[in-house]
Order: sequence, then structure tokens, then C-alpha cells
Amino acid sequence: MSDLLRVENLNAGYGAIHVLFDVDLQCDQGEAVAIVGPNGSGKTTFLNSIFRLADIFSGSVILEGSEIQRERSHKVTSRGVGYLRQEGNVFPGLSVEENLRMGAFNLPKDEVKERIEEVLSLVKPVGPFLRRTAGTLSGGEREMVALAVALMCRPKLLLLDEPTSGLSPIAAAQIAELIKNLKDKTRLSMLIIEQNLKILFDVVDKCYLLVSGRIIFSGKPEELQSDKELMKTYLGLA
Amino acid sequence: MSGQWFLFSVDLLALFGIYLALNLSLRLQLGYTGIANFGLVLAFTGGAYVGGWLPIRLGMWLVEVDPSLAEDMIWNNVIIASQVDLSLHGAPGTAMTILLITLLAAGAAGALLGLLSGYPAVRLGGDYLAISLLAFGEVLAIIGNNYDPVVGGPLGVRIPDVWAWAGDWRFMAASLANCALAFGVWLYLDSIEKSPMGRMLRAIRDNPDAASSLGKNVAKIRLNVMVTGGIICGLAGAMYTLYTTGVAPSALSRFDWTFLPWVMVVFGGSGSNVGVLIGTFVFILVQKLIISYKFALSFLPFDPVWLQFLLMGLVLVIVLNFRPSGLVTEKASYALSRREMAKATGKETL
Amino acid sequence: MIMASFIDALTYSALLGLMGFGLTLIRRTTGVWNVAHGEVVTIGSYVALTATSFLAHSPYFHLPVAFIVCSAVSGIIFLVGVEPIRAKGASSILLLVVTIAISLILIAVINIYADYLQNVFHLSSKNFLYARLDFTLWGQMGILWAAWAALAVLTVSYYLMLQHTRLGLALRALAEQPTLAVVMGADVKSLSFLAWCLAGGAAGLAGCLFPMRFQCHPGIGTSMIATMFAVSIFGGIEKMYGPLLAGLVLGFAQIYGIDLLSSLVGPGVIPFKDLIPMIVLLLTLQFLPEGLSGFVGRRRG
Repeated sequence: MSDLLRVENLNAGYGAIHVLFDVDLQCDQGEAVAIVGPNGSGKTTFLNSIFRLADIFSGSVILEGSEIQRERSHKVTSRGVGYLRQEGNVFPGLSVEENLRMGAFNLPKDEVKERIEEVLSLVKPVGPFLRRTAGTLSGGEREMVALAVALMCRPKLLLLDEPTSGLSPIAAAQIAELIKNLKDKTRLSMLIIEQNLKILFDVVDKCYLLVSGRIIFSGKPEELQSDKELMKTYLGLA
Repeated sequence: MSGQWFLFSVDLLALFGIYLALNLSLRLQLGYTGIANFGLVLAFTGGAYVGGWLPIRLGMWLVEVDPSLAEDMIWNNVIIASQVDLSLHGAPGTAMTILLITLLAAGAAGALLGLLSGYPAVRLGGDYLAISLLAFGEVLAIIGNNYDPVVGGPLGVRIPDVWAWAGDWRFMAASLANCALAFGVWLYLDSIEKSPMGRMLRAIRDNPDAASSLGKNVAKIRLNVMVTGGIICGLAGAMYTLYTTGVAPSALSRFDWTFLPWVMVVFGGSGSNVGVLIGTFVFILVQKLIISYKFALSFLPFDPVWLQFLLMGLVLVIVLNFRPSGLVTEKASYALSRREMAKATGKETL
Repeated sequence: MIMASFIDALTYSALLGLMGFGLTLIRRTTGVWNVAHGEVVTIGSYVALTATSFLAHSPYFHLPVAFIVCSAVSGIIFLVGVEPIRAKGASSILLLVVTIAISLILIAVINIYADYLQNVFHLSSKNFLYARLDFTLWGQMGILWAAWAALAVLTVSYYLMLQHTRLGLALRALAEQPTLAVVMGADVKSLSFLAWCLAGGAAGLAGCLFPMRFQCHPGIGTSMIATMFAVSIFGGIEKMYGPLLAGLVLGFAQIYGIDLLSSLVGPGVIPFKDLIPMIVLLLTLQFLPEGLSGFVGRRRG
């Protein structure tokens, strides 16, 4: 089997609040998978539950053949999962370089420097502001830094939670370009939540439509796009 | 009922009334508005100082006492107090006048202290507010312990007994009066519970930013609540002093009048009046029992009073672990009654 | 007279700095105001009492023991008391209440221990002072040098650790965005545990040094907790040198300043020296909410 991540019958939420119901999802090696759906459908909760930042009630999360749903949150990173969160995705008081170092918290110490250079070659725009304090960057710059930070841990799987939300169209296009680049250059698998479907559709290989905590569609992006009914009802696109 | 048990119960009742009033004040601040007031002792002490300072002077003015004694109120304190006591025995009217004026002044002092401690603090968030109030709570103790004219320094003063006219029923009358205070506060909170004001306070507690975007002046409302809370604490402090007929700054500790109320309220549940009542009763009972059985525990190589600290700390840790919202949890309150709601929605049941 | 109080002020500031230091570290890394910190200081004093009574020597020899014992106590407070409740997502207020509960337990334990020492070993465990055991160096009591050395060593080494090690980086990251730190693979629980231990150790040193110059009793730390909070808030929790700065200002204001004031207005003001930290706290909250170090940092840009 070439699947990197397989999620089976996942039921998750926060405390007494049940958000996800029997979610199944699969992401193969080198594949980019998009999760789309209206606000409040549980997309972020899904990513959080891979990191056990949400409570998992039942079901399993299988990464490279081993279950990780009982792993403590900070251990998931060392299994090769990077996570770009939608909010609070950099340490505002630390310099960009310190942010990157923190991203490499699980790498052996002598590899950190080398990895920073590798990541900088993948996310070139971050280079000039290594010395700046992350909190002083603009939204777009910060998002790039956050992406670079998420790449620091040498992930096999990268979780991206709305990487272009709240950015200007130019910055959003830049981020999309970077993501496309990443996909072409590395064998990185990605799980992307994105509102900006136009940017998304030519990057991803597979789409899941999540509505009210349940998967109601899965398949190729073209198939989703051709289903006018689904597009209109849940994504507001004709 | 034997005399000893009668006294035990009456004293229990008296303390229960005082603490219930104090704890309901905390419930108003914490439970309704989310103000973690760790400085309850401040307004309570203020009220107690008023109770220590004012009645004896009012007494001297209202009844006949040798005026030369007034030259040193602290030195002659006991003589004056007992002379006033003698006159008050047959004069319930005078005694009640003293009581009323003292309560008014204590309420005012409590309000002032609530305002003073609240003013710099209300704009702060959660735990910063709590810590600042905790620190401010020490201020009156420092003053009272070191500045004799207030209430005679660390050893304190004796004050006239405004309940003396009740004779043998003196303790009973004072205890009932304490409970009446608590009951009054209870009614006040109850009236808030279902009012728009109660909903506004809870809104501020749950999301100050949203409340302020709806045009509510959050800082001002919080300050109002702290002033109201201060009044209640001040009244409780004065009633306590009048009940014990004495006040000593060293006895008005952070433990007894801030931490203990917190333990009771957190144990019972800050979201419910009934919870606060249960919490108060349980802990007063335990405290009284430990003190009563102190001598039975004299074989221990330490003072059994520390067992009370140990017990309270442990109970609190356990409650916070397993039932952080307390024994009785908050119920959602509805603006409309069931029937009105049914009418409005067109459904029979909710 | 003024010279003696100058030395007192210097010593007292260093000890205040040490105490406030732990509060600041804990608050910075785990977001908890630890009310039980006062009792950890007291435990340091009782380590000094116990070791000095049973093993003789000067309390200075027992500083490492005090550091270790108080680190352990503080670490246990975190693991047993704070962490289980924090893991359930408790608010900062609830965490504060937990530390109050623990402080009550520790008050009981300390007093029971003091009673026990007094009743069984007939030690004067409720009031002790070891000034007579102190040495002199360059014409001054050893405690002055020791207190400042301890504060300097701690501040510098903690500063170096925070700025230049991976662990320090993680602690700072934790203080800023705990969830993000977790996502990057930092174990919040162990890091917080470490911070609590380091904080407890600093408090232990302060407690162990305290009886060299000042009278100690079972309530010593408890009675100083409000002052410690004043030091921590006044210093500002953003920078590690905040408590050092604030300890200095408050210590001087409390001892040296009050002497100066009493020579101006009369000795009547001396008993009110404990009000000074409260007044400073009040002014801080009103005019300098991010504290001294925040203010200095802001001025610099």
C-alpha cells in the first residue's frame, strides 16, 4: 500500500461537543488532498485531531501503517507531520530565525543549520527577514514564515489550514505558487483546507467535501467541479 | 438540647450568616461578572474597622458616659465599652440606632474600598485582576496593625454590645440578624438572576469584548459590581464585629476572609446561589467541629488547627479536579417563562 | 544607622529579586500566578533550620540542598496539583485557585513540621535567625555577598539558558504560543515542569538565605507573597531581568526609603513600610502596565 495517512471512522470533537462523524480519508504518498466545505463543518477539527489537539472519541488515524490516535500531541511531529495552523502560526516575540529553529525542535542539533538552508531554498522570500521579529511582519510575510517553520521538521505530510485566508490576492497567489512548487519539487504529501478554490483545484489530486462533520463527497477535483449541485449548495460557486 | 450544643448551633448560625453574605458577594462578582476578587478581606476589614470605631463613639454620644474618658479612647476602651453596655441593656432603641448608623457607615466604607481597589484593577484581564486585588487586600491589615487610633493596633478593641438588650437571647438575636443580612443579599441576587441586568453581567463574564461591542461600558459595569460587592462585604464585616463585640486587625486574616470564602464558593459552585449556600454550610460546620474537638486531638504533636488547612486544601484540589464548576452548576436562565416561550414559538413543549 | 539600612536594603532587594524571579518564570512559561510560591520560600528557610540544627555548619553549606528540595516541591506542585487541572483546559483563575489550595496544604505541612520540631526536638522552630553564623567579607556581612551572588548567578545563567539553548528557546516559545510549541514537537508538560523546578530552586535559595539576616517563622513566605507579586508585576513578566530590577527598587523603597522618610517626617511612618509595595503595584498597574522591563524595552524600541 502506498497510503501515507489513512483515517478510519473518525469521531472527534471537543469535550462534550461532537464535531466529526465517521470520517474516512486517505492520503497517498506525494499526493495533495483538499478538504473543502462550508464554515463550521469541522475542517480544522479534522486537522487538529490528527495532532490530538481535539478529542478523539473513536476511530483510528493511521500514519505509515501505525496508529497514532493515542500518541501524545508533541510526538506526532517526530513521526513526520508538519502543521501550518490558521492562527497563531508563528511565535511573534521570537526572531524569524528563532522561529525556524523552534520548528526544528525534533531534529538533531547538527542538522538544524543545514535544514534552515534547505527550507530557505524552498521558501525563498523568507531569506531577507531572518533577523526580524516575527510579530513585526505583514500578514503575507508571516504566512511564508509560518510555512517555512512548518517545513523545518522534515515532514512527510504537511497539514495546511487555510494558508491564503485573510491575505491580499497578490500574497495569496505567492503562497499558492510556493505550495505548487513544493509539490513539484518534493515528494511531500499535503492535506489542505482552503476556501480559495480556484487556487486549489489545479494543485490537488483529490477532494473531500466535509459538511456538518460528515464526508459527503470524495473524488477528483474535476468531478467535484462538474457537480454543479454540490458546488452551489455547499461552496457557493456556480 | 444541652447548653453546649445550643451555643454551638447559635455560633454556627452566626458565622453561617456572615459567611453566606460574604460568599454571595463573591458569587455576584465571580459568578455573575467574572471578577476574581481575591481581596474580599479588604472591604470586610473596612466594615469591621467601622464596627470597631464608630459604635463606641456613637454610644458615648447617645448615653451618659464620663466625658473625661474620651481623652484616650484606646486606653479607656474597655471601661467605656462596659459603661455603654450597661446603658444599652435597657435601651433597644438606642442600640438599634447605633446598629443602623454603623451599618450605613460600614456599607459606605465597603463601597469606597470597592471603588478604590476596583478603579485601577477593572481594566485588567482575569488573573492579573485577581493578583492585584489579592495584594490590595493586605493594605488595611497593615494600617490597622500599625496605626492604633483606628482599632487599637494588633490587639484590637472591645466595642459596645448592641444586642445587650436581648438579655439571654443576645446570641440568638445577633445570629438571626446575621442570617437576615445573608437573606437580604440572597433576595437581591435572586432579583438580579432573572433580570436584564443579570444577563448583561453574565454576558460581560463570558465575553467582555462582545458585550462592549454591544455598547456596554464593561469597565464601568465591573466597577459597579465591585462597589456593590464591597458594600455587602462591608456590611458583613460590621455585623461580624457587632456579633463578637470586638475587633482585632490581626484576626482579620487573608485566610479567613478571602481564601475560606473562595474555598466555599468554588466547592459549592459559583454559578448557583444554592451551591454557595451548601458550600458555606459544609465548611462552617467542618471548621466548627474541628475547633470543638481540638482537645480530643491533643495527643498529636502539633496544633490540630492545621488539620483544617490541610483538609480545605485537599478538598479544594479534589473538587477542582473532578468537578471544577462546583457541586451545583449554573443553569441557563430564560428571559421568558415556559408558557410565554411556548406561545412565542408555537410549540407546546421546550 | 543609614549605612546599616543601606546594607539591609541591598540584601533584601536581592532576596526579593530571587523570590519574584520564580513567580515571573512560572507565569511566563505556564501562565499561572503561583500563590504557593510563598510557601516554597518558607520551605527553603526550614531546610536551613533543619540542616543547621541537625548537621551544624553554616546555612550557606545547605544552599544546594535547599535548591534541590524546593525544586522538587515546586515540581511536584506542578505535576500533582496544576497539570491535571490545566490539561482539562481550566481558566487562569481556576489555576490560581488551585495554587491557593496547594498553598493551604503547604501552610499546614510547614506548621505541623514546625510544631513537631518544637515539641519533639525542642528547637526554636517558630522564630529563628542565623545572623550569628554569618561570616564577614570586606567589612560586610556575608549574606550581602551571598544574596547578590545567588541572584546574579541565577539571572545570568537563566538568561543564557533562555537565549542560547534549545531548551531555553522552547521555554520562550511555550510562553508565546503553547499550542504551536506542541505542534512543533515540544513537550509542554516536561518544559513546564522544568520551569517550575527552576522557579522553586530560586525560591529555595532565597528562603535558605533569608534567616541569615531576617527573622523567620512558619508564615514568612505567606506574609511576603503580596510583595512578591508586586515585584513580579512591577518588574514586568516579559523579561527575565524584570524581577531583579523591581526587587532592587522595591527593596530600597521599603527599607532605605522608609528610613529616609522617617528622618524627614518622623519615626511614625516606619511601620507602614509594607504599604510601599502595594503603592508601587497600584502605580504600576495604572501607569506602567507592562512593568519596568516592558517600559525599558519599549523605550529602546
